[in-house]
Amino acid sequence: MSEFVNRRRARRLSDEQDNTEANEKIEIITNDFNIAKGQFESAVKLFNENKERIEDEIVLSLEERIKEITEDIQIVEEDFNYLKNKSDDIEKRKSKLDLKRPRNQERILKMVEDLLVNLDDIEEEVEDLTDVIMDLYEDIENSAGEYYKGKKRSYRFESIEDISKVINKAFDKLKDTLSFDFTNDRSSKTKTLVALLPYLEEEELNEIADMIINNHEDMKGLKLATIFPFLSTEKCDEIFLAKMTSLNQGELSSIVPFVSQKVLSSLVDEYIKGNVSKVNMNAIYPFLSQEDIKRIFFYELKQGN
Amino acid sequence: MIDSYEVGRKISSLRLSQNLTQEELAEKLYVTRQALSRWERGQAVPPVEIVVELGRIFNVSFDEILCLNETFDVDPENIFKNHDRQLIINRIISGDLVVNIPSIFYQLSPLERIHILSKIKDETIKTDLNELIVKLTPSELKFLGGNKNE
Repeated sequence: MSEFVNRRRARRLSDEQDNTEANEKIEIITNDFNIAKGQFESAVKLFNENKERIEDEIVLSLEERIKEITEDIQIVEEDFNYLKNKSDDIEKRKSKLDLKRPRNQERILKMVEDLLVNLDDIEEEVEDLTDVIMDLYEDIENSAGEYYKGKKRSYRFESIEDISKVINKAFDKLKDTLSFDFTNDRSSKTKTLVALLPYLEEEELNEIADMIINNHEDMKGLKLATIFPFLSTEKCDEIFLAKMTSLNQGELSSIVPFVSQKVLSSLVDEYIKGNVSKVNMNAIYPFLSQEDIKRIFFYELKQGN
Repeated sequence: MIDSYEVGRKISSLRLSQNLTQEELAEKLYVTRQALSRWERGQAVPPVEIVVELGRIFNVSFDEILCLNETFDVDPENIFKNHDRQLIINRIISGDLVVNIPSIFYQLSPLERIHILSKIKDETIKTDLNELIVKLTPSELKFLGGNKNE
């Protein structure tokens, strides 16, 4: 086994003593996965109800995406069920083995470690699926045309002159909404804000960015990936630098594409100097320029030798 | 930026060239078959240490596994076919991939559309605005033109 794999294992072994973390993770994933599946069912229902209103070429593209998502849900479900069984299996083995023996301890730790790595992967897959499903839902809504445009007008403008009044009113409403605890319904919070973002001025968008940077209570639980496309590259850079050590792999991967290559390249400089060890470079490196990817790999190879 | 689909195909072909099953390769890498399957399907890119380990197992460089320096074509009917979505968006933005934005706009997700529009807005990308405007939703129109008009 190479030095790299050894280091990876050692890192995980120091963290996991039992199966509790895995069980908690399974519960969270189950909840998120059920929400994702519910959203997908709603999207398919919306699509079937509005198929006739949508252009033929878009219908074909949406059908293709629905098919792909259905397959992905099945794959994730199979993988997740396999891991749930594996978790039960670990519990059974724990009760049968003499855990005072170091060899048995090592065996159980290895199993828990593998399980957690796989659960991390599944968690990310569920997050990705949720994003894809939300995108699908919004695309179906947009493609359905006039029928939905009519509905959307309720939060669009009463008149062009009145625009700032409407925005302020909507934003006040949003602030009230955001004061609720959305920890279990992150997608609703994000969806509400995203609906308003195109209508906000650059200053207001910058204000939101600053609230995110300063960990403002109202911005907790918000999906950064849905806000980033609306922000300037400078603000994306600022948020990234402020948050890069606290985000998980999935969250990091979703915002890195909006960060400037200049900032990413400086980050690689610091990483190679050993100044930013807390950053998850595995989430970032796929988005780097070819030169920076090579620098990371040469550095890692040097470290391994 | 790395194309996760290309990397997945590369790992899969290297594995098959040595007649290894997913289980066998996963075991050599100390990962599960599911993780390997996810990389081979292009749903994620393997961590740095795994790429290095793959290089050792197959005796190839990391450049080859990550398909660096490789060029690719896109199908205008489905620009994302067989490619990582974010890679395509980034290449359009950086100008490495030239496409007629209005004609492919319907293929983008709402956030991808906004990402592209923000780059049109700050003039990183140039396109025929008259052709594009008719394809935008009211909120996208506001986002694109709002600040300039007021």
